[in-house]
Amino acid sequence: MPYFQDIQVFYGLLTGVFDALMKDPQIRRKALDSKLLVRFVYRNPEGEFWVDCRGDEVKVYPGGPGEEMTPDAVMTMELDTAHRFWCGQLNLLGALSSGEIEAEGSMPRLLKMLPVIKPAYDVYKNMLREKGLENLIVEEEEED
Amino acid sequence: MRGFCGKYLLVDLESGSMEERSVGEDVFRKYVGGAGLGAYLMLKEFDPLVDPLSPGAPLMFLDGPLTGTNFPGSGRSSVVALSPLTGLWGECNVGGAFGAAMKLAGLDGVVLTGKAERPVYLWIDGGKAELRDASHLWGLDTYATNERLEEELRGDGGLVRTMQIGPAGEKGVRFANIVNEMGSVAGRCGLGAVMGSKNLKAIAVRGGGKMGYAHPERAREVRKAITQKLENHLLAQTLHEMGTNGALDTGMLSGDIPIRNWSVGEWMEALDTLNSFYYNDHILVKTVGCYACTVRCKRVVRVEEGPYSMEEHAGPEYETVCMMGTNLLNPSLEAVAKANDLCNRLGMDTIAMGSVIALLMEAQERGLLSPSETGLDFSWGNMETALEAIRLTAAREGFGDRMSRGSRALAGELGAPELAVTVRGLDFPAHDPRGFHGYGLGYAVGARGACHLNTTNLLVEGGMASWPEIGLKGPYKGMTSKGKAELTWKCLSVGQLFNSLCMCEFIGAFLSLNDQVEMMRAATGFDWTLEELMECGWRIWYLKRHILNLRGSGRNDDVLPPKALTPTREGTNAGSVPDMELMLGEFYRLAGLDEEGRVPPEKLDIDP
Repeated sequence: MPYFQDIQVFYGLLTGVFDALMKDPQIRRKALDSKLLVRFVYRNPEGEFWVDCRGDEVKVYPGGPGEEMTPDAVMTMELDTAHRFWCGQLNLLGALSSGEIEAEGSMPRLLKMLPVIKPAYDVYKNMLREKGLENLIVEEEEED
Repeated sequence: MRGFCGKYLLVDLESGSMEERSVGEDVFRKYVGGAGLGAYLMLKEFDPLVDPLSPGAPLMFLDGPLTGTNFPGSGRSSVVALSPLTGLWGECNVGGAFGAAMKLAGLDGVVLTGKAERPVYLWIDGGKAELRDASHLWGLDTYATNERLEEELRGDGGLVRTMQIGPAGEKGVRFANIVNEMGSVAGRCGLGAVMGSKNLKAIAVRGGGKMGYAHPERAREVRKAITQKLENHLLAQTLHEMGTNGALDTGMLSGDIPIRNWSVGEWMEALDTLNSFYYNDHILVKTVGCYACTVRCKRVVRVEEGPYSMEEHAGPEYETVCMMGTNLLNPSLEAVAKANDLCNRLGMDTIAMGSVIALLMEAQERGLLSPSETGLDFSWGNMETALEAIRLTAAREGFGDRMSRGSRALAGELGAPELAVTVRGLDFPAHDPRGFHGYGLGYAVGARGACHLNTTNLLVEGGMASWPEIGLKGPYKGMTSKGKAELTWKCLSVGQLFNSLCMCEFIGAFLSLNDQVEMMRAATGFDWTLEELMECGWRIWYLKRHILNLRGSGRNDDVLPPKALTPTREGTNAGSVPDMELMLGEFYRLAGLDEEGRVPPEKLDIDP
């Protein structure tokens, strides 16, 4: 069974993560320095989440921006994969190599987002706890 | 010529005699070439028990069956000898174009024994070879030596490719390297000191021949297909745009980076001035590639001004950025570039040199030695001291003589062996087994010591490669030891293969293993299967392991140093250490080693 039945719950978590992260001036600066527009596409359940770092503020669009935009990178994955990623429990390179995450666009530019992603792990897990979803937290797990 | 030339040049530097020795197809079929052929020759033709710096010790420059072809990633070659740093098996896999020139000169390799009476260099021009006086080159740095040789030997017959040592190799620094014309290095195990002990300053080759393929039409098809695959591969594109140092960002995220002599788990701020974005914006001049490579990950850099100014030349790779950067608490990429340039010119391994400096910084902090004893202030991040340490080590002047013996020896002398981060005396590369437990097993059973190229754990466990054709799809979690023995056993075979094919590990990571098989079949005409090649990989490792055993190294040395078994308190790998007992036990069962870590006779597939 997938971690999330309702993608709106995931949208709420991720929006909260970015809201929290952007209160840190250093992280905010690094995100804006990337000047990236990234589209995350999810399956099972379906959905998408956009992160726009091109302007003066980082904007997020749960479900899509509602207008036509051309992203710099698109990353497509199962929502479970995304959840494991934000819990800090996914080998990103391995997921790209094995096809668990399909990526289009500029990987080097995506690397610019890594300093933003690292602190996001803890924020995401705290957000799960705050919402009473700690049972969804993926901690260190053994290989199958 | 179809993949193999079927012969190598044997040079006795003492008498000056040379002869071509033939190598049968059956040998290539079993040991592939490169380092695999080197292991075979070491056992078959030479005494594997000699002192690495004695005249009787062989020094081998060997090609693989793909070297000289136009397949991307195949422009590499092997250097093989007994290591004066570890006292055990030594090998390097080096890029550039030297190996291709050797193949195009009609040779699968050059093997040198003896010691020349005076400094010489070996000049191979097409089918002719001669030893020439090198007294005018002795004392020159590696880049100057290359320039002089190119001037001397330039003619109408095409480019001259060289491999040479610097002053460090001449002086017998135990981690001296061998540098080629592009600033690519046969870096590890101190094989430059072996070359220096033979009074051999350089080898220069002009090819001139034409590479043949057993199946030329098939070779064209395969090349077209893999070139297309590489062009579309996101990680290959990233490697081109960011260089190997692109791994610094992902490494910091995954707990892979050595910091403060392997004592700290995270230093995010270092990314601001050491990562590839800074690199590209501040010091990069252009990208270049090895022979036949379409990815072109190598960097040419320049530092315009300031204390670390340097002329345009080869830039630091990821390993050097870590060992001269994060591991010394040095946030200056310009200082790393200068240290890299100095090590390349003087002819020393940046990993080993950086490791020596790191341990001295920790030793001074702990009060184990003082600036008055060393003549230098080894405070963390003091790069003026680091650069002076490099100069003194290459010259073996003052405290430099003690540094020139390497970190294990130096830490032992200081009464603090725990400060050295080595396996079998070879310093860890910049990949932390606390973040990826299988790396630790790979280091422990690596034929040359702690090495990230001996097995392909770095590619598979680290995430760059996915090879479902041998049951390694991934992605794998780094911080678990469960299942890593089987993963490492397979990665060990592939690592041995890459070092014997003389294939670039990065290109290998981006292709399937069946692509490698196709390249091999098209080049050689052998009807190799993947299963057969995997058997070759294990066969080759057994030979090397047997050489270790003969020299007294087995289970007693399959040990990680204390630093790698002490958890960090911060960062992604906080609290994590590899379970070596679990992994080694499973690995021994898979490999069929006895309790002492010896290779049983039935596993040794070599004629007596």
